[in-house]
Amino acid sequence: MMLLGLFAVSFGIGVVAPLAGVGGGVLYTPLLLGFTNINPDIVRGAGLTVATYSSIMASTRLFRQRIAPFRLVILASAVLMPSGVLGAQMGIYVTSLGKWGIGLLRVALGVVMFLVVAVLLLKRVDWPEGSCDGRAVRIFNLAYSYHDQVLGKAVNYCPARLGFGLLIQALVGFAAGFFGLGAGWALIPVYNLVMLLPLRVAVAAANASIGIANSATLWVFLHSNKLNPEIYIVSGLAVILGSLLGARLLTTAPLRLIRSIVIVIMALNGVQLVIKGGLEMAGL
Amino acid sequence: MTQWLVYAAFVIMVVTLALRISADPQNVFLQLNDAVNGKMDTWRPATPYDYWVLYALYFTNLIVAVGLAASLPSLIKESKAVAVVAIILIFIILLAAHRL
Repeated sequence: MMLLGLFAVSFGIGVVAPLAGVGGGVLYTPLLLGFTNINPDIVRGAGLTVATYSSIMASTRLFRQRIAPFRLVILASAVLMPSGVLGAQMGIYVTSLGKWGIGLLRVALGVVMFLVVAVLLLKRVDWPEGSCDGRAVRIFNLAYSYHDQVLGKAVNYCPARLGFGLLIQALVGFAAGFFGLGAGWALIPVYNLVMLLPLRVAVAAANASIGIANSATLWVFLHSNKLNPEIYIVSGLAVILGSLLGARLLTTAPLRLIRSIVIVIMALNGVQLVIKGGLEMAGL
Repeated sequence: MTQWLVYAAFVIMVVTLALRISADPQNVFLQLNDAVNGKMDTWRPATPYDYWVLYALYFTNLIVAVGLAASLPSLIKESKAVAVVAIILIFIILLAAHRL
């Protein structure tokens, strides 16, 4: 019964996430940390699993369709991966401080949820103008082209401000490992607004980056024995199955309404996390 | 190839989990109950079935490294610098897998 409940909750998150334009991990971890008593490390590990497995599933398709810029994703992963591992280890250290540490993690995640909501409300640019004459673009062969079905023509693009973009990604990677969140909510605007990738490419690149970078971070939780196999596997697979259904509903569901509801839920979840964590820190 | 590995990993995870549950359902649900009620902060494999589940998770987490290794020949043609970065990523994943 408990397993079915876990499956149902995870499946529901999987269905809603793509309709709201967010990853499963960013809904899964805060909701479970806010509304259950499951150990935060187990939740973070499971949240990261949810984000990673669904991203790996999606990215194999995105690479095959040549929408995700593979070489750029590898460069980004070189930054995201070590910072994610560091963040995960730091998170485990903080929760090992006891109730105060767990409270601190909840409060910090609550604050991050407000940031997530703010970032989700940012206006994105479909086809930003980038320049392809940078030195890094030549060295790493980062000039790309893809066929855009909306425009009906090939779109040429290159990443801009590579150094600054990767620096921000290091912070995003740390947060992803520390909180056990997927990082799509932050990576998409970084790729789109900072590195000036077309929006469709930015979404694909963010998805692929999460899949590659988190595969090292997950080992931190596995080696620390911070897992429950049922929660890990059932949640991971249920979110993936749910997101397949969610993707099918994309053309018929009232997306604007669902996105608004999810953003409100995330904001309330943030408030609830801050209160719950604050009480824990105060020893109440 | 990577996509088939992912599908295989998911099937293996489900099968090993089903075996673990069917081998000792009472113990599994006791553990799950403890986890949901916040009484479990670590889980250590004790039976062979537990290890199978753990190895299934290990296998799944290594798929990215396999995928990166498979893409190396084409990466070397496209950009040697990125190929070097990919090798470093594979090394980090294997290092993390070995034990941090």
